[in-house]
Amino acid sequence: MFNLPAETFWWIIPWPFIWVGLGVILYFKLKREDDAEERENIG
Amino acid sequence: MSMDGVIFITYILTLLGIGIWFSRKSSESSEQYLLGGRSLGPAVTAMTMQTTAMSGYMFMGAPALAFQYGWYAVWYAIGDAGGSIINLSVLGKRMRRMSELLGALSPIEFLEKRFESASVRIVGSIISIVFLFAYVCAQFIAAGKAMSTLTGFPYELSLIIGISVIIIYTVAGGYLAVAYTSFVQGVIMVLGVVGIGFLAYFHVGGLTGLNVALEKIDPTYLSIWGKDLAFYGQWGVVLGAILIFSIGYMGLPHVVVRHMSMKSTKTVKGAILISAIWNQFFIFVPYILGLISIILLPNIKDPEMAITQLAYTLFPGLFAALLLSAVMSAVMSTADSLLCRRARFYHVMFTNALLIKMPLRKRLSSFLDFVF
Repeated sequence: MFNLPAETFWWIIPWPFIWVGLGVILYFKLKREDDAEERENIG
Repeated sequence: MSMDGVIFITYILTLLGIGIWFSRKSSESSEQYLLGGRSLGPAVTAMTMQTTAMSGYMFMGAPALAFQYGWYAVWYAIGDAGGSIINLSVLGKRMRRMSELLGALSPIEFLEKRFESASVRIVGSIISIVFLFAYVCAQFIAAGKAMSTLTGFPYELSLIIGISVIIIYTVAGGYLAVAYTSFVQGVIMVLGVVGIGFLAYFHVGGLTGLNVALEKIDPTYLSIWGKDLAFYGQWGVVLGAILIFSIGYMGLPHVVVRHMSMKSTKTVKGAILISAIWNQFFIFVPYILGLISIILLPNIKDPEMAITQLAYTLFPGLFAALLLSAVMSAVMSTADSLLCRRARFYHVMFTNALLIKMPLRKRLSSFLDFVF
């Protein structure tokens, strides 16, 4: 794909999607932790 | 005056304006000057962290590396693109919380108080002065080169103007000026690099056209092992290329201090998401532009100037000015952060009329703060 050797394509092209995916997962994980912390503080 | 000159001067005046705007607020206390009163939200934190981390290397070193080694250079971009996610998720909440509890205003002070050892401060300061001095000098040289290309001024004059602007807004406005100018610089960097990247991308027929042309010159440009397969099978070298930027940011004091200036620990999640998205738009493009230069500028003498030459050769006018302002942004946003702590001394000196009004103990303390 994109006239790249398969090795180059599969080692390089997925990374931007992996990093954004990880960013989104961490956002929701930390949001859950923040909400729990807030509930704990109120309680 | 030409259009690009007007754009560039507007940019410089904006930076100076931000410095002066924050100068009164920064005078309130050391915490206000050095950490902006720990008041930064997720967008400014993400942008200031990333633009500080992305130095002149991104516009000069990165394309030169791609020009020399082909697709292999993108390994560096892969690590870099995830650097902020790792940095913020590992250090973000911990450093924000601990630095406030310990009352630390800098990463070195944090280490000193965290480990209750004055020698940590001295050793850390010596390391930071020796290595960061070279780093600041490299940024100044890049600033001089970029401004000289843009304005046509002699290199030495460009160097003096560039350094003066950085020092004035940093000394006047402190951390808040540095953070908010970084925010503006981050937007300009993305617009500049993506704008030129977009135009150059279609100029060479997209990614496929680029790779077809590279293959004709030398098929090994397309390999993950570098031109002429220079690093064939050397996974250690590849791992080093990925790790240098992905975990390296956690060791840069001018980047780490961004954790300490966040509004609260809740700022971390938004900063991770914004920086992750910004990185994917920005970081890969300079490397791709380096690859494009192999085709469009095969006889370039200094590959470090590939992006600036691409801008002026192919896209004169507005885009070239925007891109070169972006180069200056990358350089300045790193240099100002490195200088910020030292700038506190000068700020105190000016606001207290050359220290005369200050008691001796405070004078000494300010001086030690400057040195260490």
